[in-house]
Amino acid sequence: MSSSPSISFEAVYVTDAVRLDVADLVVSLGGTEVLRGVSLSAPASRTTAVLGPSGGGKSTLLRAVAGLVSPDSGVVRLNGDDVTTVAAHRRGVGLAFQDLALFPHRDVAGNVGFGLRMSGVESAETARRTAEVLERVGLSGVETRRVDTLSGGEAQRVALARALAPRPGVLCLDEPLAALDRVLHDRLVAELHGLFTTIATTVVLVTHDQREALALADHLVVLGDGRILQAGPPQMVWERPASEEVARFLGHQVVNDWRGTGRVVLRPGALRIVDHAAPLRGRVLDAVFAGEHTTLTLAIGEIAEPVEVDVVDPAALGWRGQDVGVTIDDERIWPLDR
Amino acid sequence: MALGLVALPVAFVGLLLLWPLAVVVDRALRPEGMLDLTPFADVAADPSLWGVIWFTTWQALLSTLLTLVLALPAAWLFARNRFVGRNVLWAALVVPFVLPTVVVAAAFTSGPSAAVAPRGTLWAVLLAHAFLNYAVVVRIVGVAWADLGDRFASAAAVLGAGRWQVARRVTAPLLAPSIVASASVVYLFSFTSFGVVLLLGGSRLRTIEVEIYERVRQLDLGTAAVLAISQVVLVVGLVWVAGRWAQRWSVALRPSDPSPSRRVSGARRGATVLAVVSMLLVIGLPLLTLVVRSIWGPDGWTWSYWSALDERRGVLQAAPLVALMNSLAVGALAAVIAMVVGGLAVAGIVTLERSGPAWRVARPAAFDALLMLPLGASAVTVGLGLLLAFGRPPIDLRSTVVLVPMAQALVALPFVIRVLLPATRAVQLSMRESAAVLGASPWSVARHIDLPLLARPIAIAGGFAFAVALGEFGATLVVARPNLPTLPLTVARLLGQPGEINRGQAMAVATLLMIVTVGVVLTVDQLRGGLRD
Repeated sequence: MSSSPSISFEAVYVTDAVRLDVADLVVSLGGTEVLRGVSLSAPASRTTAVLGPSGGGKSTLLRAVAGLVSPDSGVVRLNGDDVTTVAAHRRGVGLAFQDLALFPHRDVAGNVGFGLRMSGVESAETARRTAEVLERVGLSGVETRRVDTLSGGEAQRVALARALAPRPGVLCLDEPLAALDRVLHDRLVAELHGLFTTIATTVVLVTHDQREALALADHLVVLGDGRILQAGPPQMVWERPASEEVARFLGHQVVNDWRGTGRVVLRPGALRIVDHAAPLRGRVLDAVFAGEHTTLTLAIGEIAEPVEVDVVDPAALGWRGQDVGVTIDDERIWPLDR
Repeated sequence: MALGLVALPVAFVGLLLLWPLAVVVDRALRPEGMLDLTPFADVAADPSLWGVIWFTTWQALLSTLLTLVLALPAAWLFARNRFVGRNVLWAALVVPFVLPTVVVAAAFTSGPSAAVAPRGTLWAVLLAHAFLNYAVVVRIVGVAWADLGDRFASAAAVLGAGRWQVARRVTAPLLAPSIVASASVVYLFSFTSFGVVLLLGGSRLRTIEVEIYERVRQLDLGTAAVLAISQVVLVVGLVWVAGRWAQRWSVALRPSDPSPSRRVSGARRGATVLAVVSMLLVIGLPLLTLVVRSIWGPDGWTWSYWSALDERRGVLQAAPLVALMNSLAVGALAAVIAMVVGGLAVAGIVTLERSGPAWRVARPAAFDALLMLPLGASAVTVGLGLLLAFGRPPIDLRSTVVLVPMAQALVALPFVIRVLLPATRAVQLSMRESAAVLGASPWSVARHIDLPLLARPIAIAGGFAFAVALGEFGATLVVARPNLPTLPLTVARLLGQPGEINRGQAMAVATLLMIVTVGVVLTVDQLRGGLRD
């Protein structure tokens, strides 16, 4: 179907590059400290992904950046200017909410153009820019639709367009894709990546989905229990997690005693099954079919605990109880206790 | 900003309710300017007043029981059955609840019910109370029963319970909280009942509320004040006990999937038809009587009662049509005052609740309770307080017309808040925050987000405030000057006079008041949406 929406990558849409710095931010909600001294920097015109489990304080961090909660202490700076006490409506930080919060009493154009109208842009210009930003998110010609008639993906795009329209210096996205089914989710991840590249706006995105964070981030921040656990380029965080907590959150295996060297992180591909005779042998304790691969649970003689290895060959389902040869890729093993 | 929003409603309630109540207390405790408990002692020593208090208590109990007996079958009917006209009947239920008490009293002075229970008998009072409160029980219990659905009964049946055991061990305990809740409301309304008892109770039957009014009329303000204070204490006690009860009985239930109603078939058909007929009798008969009686005289059908509505006859202070104009003007003013004060109060409460955990619990709740006070203080007491505080030098507002709309606004205020507060709380925080990050100032958020989203509740609250003000009787009767009669006062006046023409005209004016009130409420009720299916 030709009308199937997709985000347009053409045309340059550049906002002023704004750098966001948060220093020692402490926020309490209802007597509990939700953020306990968070410091991070989001480079201008780049996408920063904040990755963390539910309840880790991610949404609160965005709300503090946008000016919707006042921190107990700490500073929020935009291009070096302290904006900690600037009200949300004067701060120029855009925020798309996890529940979208589209205004039900306004049509699509009324939603997308709301921010422009609030900043006094005249109506003809508002209409033009609304159409432009809708086209950018792949939704042309829906201006007069009621928002409750939109599909999940369309509503998501409208929420994104609404946050983008006033060209905020920093665009915050709270779990932008959490409510979508997997196929739509994966497609929008690819589209968002293209969009962020072309608009060159400073984006701060929070998510609990590590694949989404890795795919979209130029800069990755792992937040857990109100503290920053690690920050850096996504590839570095992926290959060299700073702690067991980070490693587990990225989906890596952690082995407590790896051949006498203490705890190590096994990234995918660290262990491989080979049919030729290998020096290391393991017994298959269990085999679970997972679609594109089969997950084997192995007991390897010199390692105290069972480890999991993914195998592409579906025949692996029949290997339960057998012994298999194992090779190790030292490049994909990261020691935690050095 | 929040404190500013709260200041006006607090000042309004303080000046027009707390201050008058304080004056009533002062009057009761210090009749000559010094602490003097003689009035209390006099009341306590007067067996006729103990008789009034005792009657108030047990007639309310009997009214509640009669209401439950009549209303529970109808609650079952709506909750568990599907039948032709279900939605129309559900909407019609609102009519008896919102009818002014004088209209109900007028309806019960004639027709078949008056043949069984003539004016001046206990049954007349009980029947009128049951009629007024019928919808309270049907709606509260009906919704709870529908929410219950089939799931628990099915679960019990699968575990081996028979039909009777299901009813006794599952359905009844799960329905008990809603029955208790609705019964407490009915008891409270019957306990402070004024118009019905004044107009139907004859000279013998008097509730505390009626007695207060009689004392005011005899200018025995000391005894009136003592009785008013006693009634407030009793009502607060009742509300407290009812609250404790409700808490003890409460069960947390999520609404069931919408599959409760069954198409009527077989043995159920008889029961359903019976329930529908009884409902039509309970709601329809008194109203039909009223209308018919307004066009039926000793010589058969006649328009004379209606055609004389523009005449000011000797017994009246003004022509009924003038009274209609008074009612509309004063009621509209009262509704505007109640909406402004109630709207500001709700904005203040919600802003405080959202501003931080310290405010979130105790203080807005206390403020909420303060604004609900007019319900507990009862209409005649509100009127008495206004009269004592502003009805004599140095502040004599009685000669102006402002006391009547003020009194009506106070009585309407709790209804406004009951509608607006939950609706305002329900506006998603993220909706308002989205507007804020898009550059909307707090005022713009209120204008572009809150107001449009709350348009329906605002219209509903305004309509109800207007309807309540139109039918308000007790407070208006106490503070109104003879030169500004409203429709309810006109009905009461006509009912109090002998003669066929007065009776007939009372019916015509009551019918007119009924049409206006029901018209307002049904228009507004359209906005609310019907029963879940």
